[in-house]
Amino acid sequence: MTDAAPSSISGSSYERLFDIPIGPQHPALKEPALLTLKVEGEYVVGVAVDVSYNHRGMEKAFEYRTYVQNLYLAERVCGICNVAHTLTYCLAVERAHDKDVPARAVYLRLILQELGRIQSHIIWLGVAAHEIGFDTFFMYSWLDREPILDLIEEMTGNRITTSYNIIGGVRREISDALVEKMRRAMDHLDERTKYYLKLVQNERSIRIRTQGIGILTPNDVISCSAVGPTMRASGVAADVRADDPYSGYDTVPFNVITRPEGDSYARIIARIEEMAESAKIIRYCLDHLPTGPILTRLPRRVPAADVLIRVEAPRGELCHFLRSDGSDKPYRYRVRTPTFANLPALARMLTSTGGRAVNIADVPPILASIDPCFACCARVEKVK
Amino acid sequence: MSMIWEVYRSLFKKRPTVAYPLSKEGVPQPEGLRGRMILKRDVCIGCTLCEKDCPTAAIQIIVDEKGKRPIFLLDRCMFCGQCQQTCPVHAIELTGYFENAAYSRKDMVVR
Repeated sequence: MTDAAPSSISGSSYERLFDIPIGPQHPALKEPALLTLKVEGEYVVGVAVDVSYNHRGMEKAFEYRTYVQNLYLAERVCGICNVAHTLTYCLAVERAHDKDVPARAVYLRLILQELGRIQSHIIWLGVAAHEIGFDTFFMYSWLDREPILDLIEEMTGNRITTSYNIIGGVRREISDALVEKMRRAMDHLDERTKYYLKLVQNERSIRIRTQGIGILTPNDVISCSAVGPTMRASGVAADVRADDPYSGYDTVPFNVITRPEGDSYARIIARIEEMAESAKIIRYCLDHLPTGPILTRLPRRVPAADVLIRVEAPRGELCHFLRSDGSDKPYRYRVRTPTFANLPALARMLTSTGGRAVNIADVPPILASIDPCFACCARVEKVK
Repeated sequence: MSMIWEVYRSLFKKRPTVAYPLSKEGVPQPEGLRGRMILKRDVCIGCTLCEKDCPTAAIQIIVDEKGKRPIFLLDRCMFCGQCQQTCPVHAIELTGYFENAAYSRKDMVVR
């Protein structure tokens, strides 16, 4: 895939560049977003991304609800990474109070966080296979997501909007029977991740459509500030769990998964290996679960403070900023989601340069490989 | 190529789907599933903290012969369980009953 981009056609009234919109409604997209591709022949030479279609006014809505009610609003910023959003919210409010949660609650939050990461990566694996057209793999990988969701349902009461992290700790205890079930499920997950790795490495249809496609060099990563597995699959080893540990990650040993190639294939491998790493973290936490209480009661009025919390959501670095003013409602709450940070990297990946060409048919796999969650990232509204 | 063997083997495995509306066998209903709530009326003290904490305003306070008590609007409720968490006397409990669809709004009020 190293054809040079075509040279310009001179001396004719032929229009060189066309604008082709992908979206806002498109079968390849799971959520509305407008990608206006500037296309020259079959090669994409530029893209304008508009993600304002999912704007819900959440940051304003945060200011009109109390801290207890805002927990559920934060959870619904994104359905897939709802555990990461509630964890960040709870950490922000607890930091504003300047109080810590009990040790058992820290480990229970960690277990749920990693279960959420596994189920998000399985969703992503299925959706990426679907974008390539490999629907069989989509169905079979989502079948492996069901045991994880059953574990989450038994632990928290619901499959997706878990409402488990609350301000001051976690809501429920975890029984010994559930701990045993989790260990068995992690063993099953390990066999399945080995199978997926073998499948992705041997299946020619996946390799043709993802190897050498959507290359992001380490310099591009730094200049576009990519986050998450998108960044780590280009060789940049930065992970908020390792660099800025929160909620017990400094006590759990784990590896930061990186790949050197930087194409969509590397991102697939990086996410599958992250799933295996999460299974290891969960096993460690289950073996070293401390005893004690799971909740500390915190007052409803939060002291005035400016707090910024970073958490490694499944898609990358998630930041929540809270400005509290001493009352029981936040003064300002700002959410910066990882997909929003990956959009400049997406635009860079979709631009053909002299060394590599991006065809229109490569656009859905490249878009799928950054793990887009446009619902999360619509914080700005474009006023036309 | 390696996927074709998995697909062939799955012909002989147990079916992972369940025939839900026709039978409830195989539907996971763990203990602690958050479904329709019940109020233990003799325990409720009428403090109205549940109404203040409900994120969707699904709880309304009415006055009956014993005093103030909540009623729950299931069409606004998102089954988050905050009312169960907030209640100081544990009068609210979310059971595992999840078949809450109804034909009229009157059936969606839990008294």
